[in-house]
Amino acid sequence: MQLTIEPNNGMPIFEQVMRQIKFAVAEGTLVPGQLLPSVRILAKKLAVNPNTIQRAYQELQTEEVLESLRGRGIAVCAGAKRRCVSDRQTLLGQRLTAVVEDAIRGGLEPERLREMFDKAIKQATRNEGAQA
Amino acid sequence: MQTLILSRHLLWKDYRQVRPALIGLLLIQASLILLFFIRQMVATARDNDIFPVSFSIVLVAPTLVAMACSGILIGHERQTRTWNWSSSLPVSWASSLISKTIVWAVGSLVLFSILLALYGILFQICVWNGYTFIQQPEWTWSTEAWLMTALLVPLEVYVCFSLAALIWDDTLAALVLSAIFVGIMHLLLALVIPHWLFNISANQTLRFNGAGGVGMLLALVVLVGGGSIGLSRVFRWRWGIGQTQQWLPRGSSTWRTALSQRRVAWRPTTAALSQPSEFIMLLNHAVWSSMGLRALIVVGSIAFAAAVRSPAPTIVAACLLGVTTFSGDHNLSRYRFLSDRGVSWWKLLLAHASVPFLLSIGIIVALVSYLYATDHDLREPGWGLLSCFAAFLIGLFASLCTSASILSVTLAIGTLIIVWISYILFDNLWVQWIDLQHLALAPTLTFSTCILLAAIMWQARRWLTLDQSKGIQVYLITLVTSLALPIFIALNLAFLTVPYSAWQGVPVEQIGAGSPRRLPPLKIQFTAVPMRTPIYRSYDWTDNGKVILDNWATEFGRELTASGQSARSEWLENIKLVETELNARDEYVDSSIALRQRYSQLIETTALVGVHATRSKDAPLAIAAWKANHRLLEEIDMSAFTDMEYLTARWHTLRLWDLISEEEWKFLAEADDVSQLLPKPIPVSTFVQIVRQQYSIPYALMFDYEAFTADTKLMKRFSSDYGYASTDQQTAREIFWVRFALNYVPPVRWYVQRLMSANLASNVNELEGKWISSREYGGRNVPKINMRPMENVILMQQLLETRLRDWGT
Amino acid sequence: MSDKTQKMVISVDHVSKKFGRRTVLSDVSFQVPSGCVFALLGENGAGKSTLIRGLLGYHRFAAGSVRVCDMDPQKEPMALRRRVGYVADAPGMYEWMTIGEAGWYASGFYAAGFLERYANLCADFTLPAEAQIRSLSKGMRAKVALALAMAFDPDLLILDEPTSGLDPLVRRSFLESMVDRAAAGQTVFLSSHQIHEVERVADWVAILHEGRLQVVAPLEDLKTQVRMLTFSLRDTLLALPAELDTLQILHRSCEGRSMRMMVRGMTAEIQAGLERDSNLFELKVLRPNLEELYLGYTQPVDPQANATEPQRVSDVA
Repeated sequence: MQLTIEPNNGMPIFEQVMRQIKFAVAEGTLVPGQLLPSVRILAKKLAVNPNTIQRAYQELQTEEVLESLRGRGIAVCAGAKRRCVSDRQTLLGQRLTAVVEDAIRGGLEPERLREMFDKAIKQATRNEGAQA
Repeated sequence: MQTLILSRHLLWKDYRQVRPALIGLLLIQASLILLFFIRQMVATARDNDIFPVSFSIVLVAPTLVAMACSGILIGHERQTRTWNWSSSLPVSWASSLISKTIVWAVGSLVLFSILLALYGILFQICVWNGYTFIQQPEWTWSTEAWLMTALLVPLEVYVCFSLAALIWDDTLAALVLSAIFVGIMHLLLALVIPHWLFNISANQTLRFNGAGGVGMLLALVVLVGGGSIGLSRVFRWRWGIGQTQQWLPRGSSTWRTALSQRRVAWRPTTAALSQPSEFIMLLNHAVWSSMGLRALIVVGSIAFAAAVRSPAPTIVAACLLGVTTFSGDHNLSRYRFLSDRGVSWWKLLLAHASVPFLLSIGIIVALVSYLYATDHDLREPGWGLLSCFAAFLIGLFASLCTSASILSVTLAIGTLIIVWISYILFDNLWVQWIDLQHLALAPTLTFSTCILLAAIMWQARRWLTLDQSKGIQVYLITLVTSLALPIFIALNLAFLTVPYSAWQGVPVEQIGAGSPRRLPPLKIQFTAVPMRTPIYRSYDWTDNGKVILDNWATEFGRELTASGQSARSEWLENIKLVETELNARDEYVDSSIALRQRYSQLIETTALVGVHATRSKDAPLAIAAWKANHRLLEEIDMSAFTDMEYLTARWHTLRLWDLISEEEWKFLAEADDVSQLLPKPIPVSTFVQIVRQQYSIPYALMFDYEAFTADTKLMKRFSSDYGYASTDQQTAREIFWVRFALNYVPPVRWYVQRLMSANLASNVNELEGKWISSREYGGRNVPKINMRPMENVILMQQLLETRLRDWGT
Repeated sequence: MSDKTQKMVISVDHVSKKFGRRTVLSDVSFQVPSGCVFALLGENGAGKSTLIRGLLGYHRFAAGSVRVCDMDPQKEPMALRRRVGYVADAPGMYEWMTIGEAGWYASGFYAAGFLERYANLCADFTLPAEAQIRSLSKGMRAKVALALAMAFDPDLLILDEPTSGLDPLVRRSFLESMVDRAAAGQTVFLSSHQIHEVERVADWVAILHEGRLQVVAPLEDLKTQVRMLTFSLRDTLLALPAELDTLQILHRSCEGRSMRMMVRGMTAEIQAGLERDSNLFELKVLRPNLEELYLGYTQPVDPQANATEPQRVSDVA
């Protein structure tokens, strides 16, 4: 699992870790039951404070994305994928809202915006189809 | 393990740090002792007892080790910040100090023992070779003196130098300061308590005198004790809370930059309207860097030199000033800064070197004027200036080649000492071999200095271009080259300094045939003996000489016989009169030249008579003649040894002895005590030495060989009576070197050949009528000797070549 | 994180230090909890090295007291050295030693196990045991110094600008080691001005500026409580909204009609109030990164005004 940390882009590091793990689960890169590296190892690999990783793991456990297996470490929960996918969609929704607000504020006409939106969807689905 | 005071890790670390320095010291000191030994073995006069002087080198070993240890284990460690690192480990200050002290003590002991053993072995070898040295002054020192020299002084140096290295950040400054302090203290003590201190009796024993001596010892013990306590306190402080403390307040930047090499600011001139030139800025920088240290060196050296009344310390000071030229820059990698700015190397060199060089000139001038003003005896000031310049260059080169200031000081001072001592030891030898006057060593020194200058310029350029590898190798190679090369060139080109005299070859026999032979009439009046002997008439330089002498002797004998018994009796009486006359005189024969000429003729004549009488088995005449001959040879004073006629006469005598056969000799031996008849042996070494001093190599070679051959023959025949000491064999050794050089080194052969021809030619000119022409002795004019010049010149040339061929066999 | 019963590894209490007439540190106080990565930021000459050297007992502070690992550095230097590993900037090491020999030398002063750990560390750092230190590059030298300081498993590791001038690979090595130690429960005290590195690994951050401590706080708290506010003004002559007065302004800069402020104490109400103001537009409230925080704390509050600087409060959790 490859994680990229940007410490100075404004988002807390633990949040970045959480988000990327969730995305990985949503994508299917991390399957339920797969063991994640320990706090110490992951912290060393990413060169971030272990407390940060600890907090990320803790929060993910609270959200029931990860679970702690006695004697074996931290693993992905069984029903995590569904939760992560919905979380991802929520995030995407937030991003969309922010983009739309920006556009409206920037003076873009709603009609024009809808046109651009449709075009983008068409483009994305076509690419998606080509890939699949 | 943590709480042990003695840690083998610390000991190992300190030992490894100081090991290269100890090895270097050992090598330098051993080489110096060997130099002394070589000089002793090659010395010609046996009373030239130079080897025992090297004992002081052995004695000084613990002190040198003390300097090295405090400089490296404390000063260098502090400068390279390894001190800081070691102190950040759980190492107590006591362990650290004890470890360093133990390393010093053990190192001193080891070095001292090795050098003492070496000295002892070489001493014994000298004794086996027949040198008997006068009583060693050192061996008769009292216990107190030994204690003081061997134990207290090194301890004192260790304590002082360590304290200084702890207090000052810069090792070089610390060294100089503590050296000055120790020196001043000792001088003060010597001034204050001179007579109570010791008395040197006639055979140079060093004894402490009663209360004063013990008091002095106690004073030193107290000083050293107090110093040690101070040392441990300062050490502890520097190990802990005082690690970065420096003595000058940070506000005063001027003095700070002056005394500490680390902080020299690149100072732009203030409010300059125009940009100062690069050279001015470099000069400005050079003036301010190490200013305090240089001031210390100047003051210290002048004080020392004035105290000991000799210009020698100024040479050391010039060397140290040379070391300060670049020693600070290495520490801070200042060269990188300078080369980034594209500073040209020659500007850098000039600017950096000018300041300390002017300072050294200043010291010398000050000292020389002082010494002149106090009517001190100064020889050859120009020579002294040149040596100071060379010493300065040596220091400069050392600081350019090595980065650690301790190392550069050691290299520079070590080189200086070796060169100095070699010069002192081998001065005479060098002079003899290259036939240069004492002052003419200056060209050699100049040449070496030029090589050194070229090497400095080359290394300066490399220094700026960051190629500083192999600094020490460069240094050593340059030094060896600059010392060996001029000597090598001089040896090889010496022959060009002598003009080639053109000769025409004429066979010897032809010359010999033409030589006049006359019988010398004998009259026993020492003031005017009108006889002519073969001196300068026929040079028996070849074994043809034997024939000629033989012919001469035979003819003389024939004439003597022919003149009948009455002539024979007359001869006998006259010869006996010689002895009577000699007995009547109560002093040596006057060494006026005219008299010596007569004298020499008399010697030859009596030898001729002796040979004839021996051959004709005329015992009384023979004995009388040889006795007279013996007495004549004995009675002449030492200055006659420098006379050609005397030497020739003596040598002719020896050759004439050669003509006597075994039976004739037996006959003579039965008749009388032979020791009274044989020519008195002159110790060949003395003989040769005197000849050498008076004449140059060619004469030395001629007479050495001839005398040696003749004497050896006689010695072989009559060894028990002739009584030469075995040490006269040295001449054989020396002749061996001469012969080796003549056979295998063509330039030397050419040189000697030319020199011999030239000298013989000038001699001939003298003889042709210029010598003793106008001197008057007792109102009488001495007649000139008549000669046929050209034949003799040609003959000499022939003889020369034959002689050289001879020596090859 | 701010557990008051947690053990304090370093306690510095109102220390100050002068060199001659120059005051290097003045009234500095902070505490370093155990098991964290504590970063001390400051420009060159701010007094970081002086502070660190004083922590280790290499000089005396003019005032105040220091306790490290519950010991007074002046009174128990040896015991302290056995528990604290120190890597100085530009560490001095014996040039003639090989890496192995340096380890052997140091091992004589620590408990058993030093050499083994040292060998492991050297292997981790890919340091050849036979290489002489004088032949090493700067980065390798730093690694050796770090290995020597870590090999005895110290409770506290003090690093003084360890990665200045080193290549990214070596820097990464250092970071990983620091992280490793923190994960093992040891404390790391780091002085640096590589802000990006500090941002990754630090738990606590202290900013030293001109001898004074501007702020001491957990990094997370700082990032949560401090906000970067940027907005533009339609009319620059109108007064700024009153809500701004309720905030603690750490730094303000003005360029033409746009203003940027670093503020503390931003709440949702204040933000809403600012959005309502008609004079302001393009209001953005961002989380600052550490670099911006650092600049905010070390630059004067208002570079254009000549008013006296308001005191920035140091926050010890």
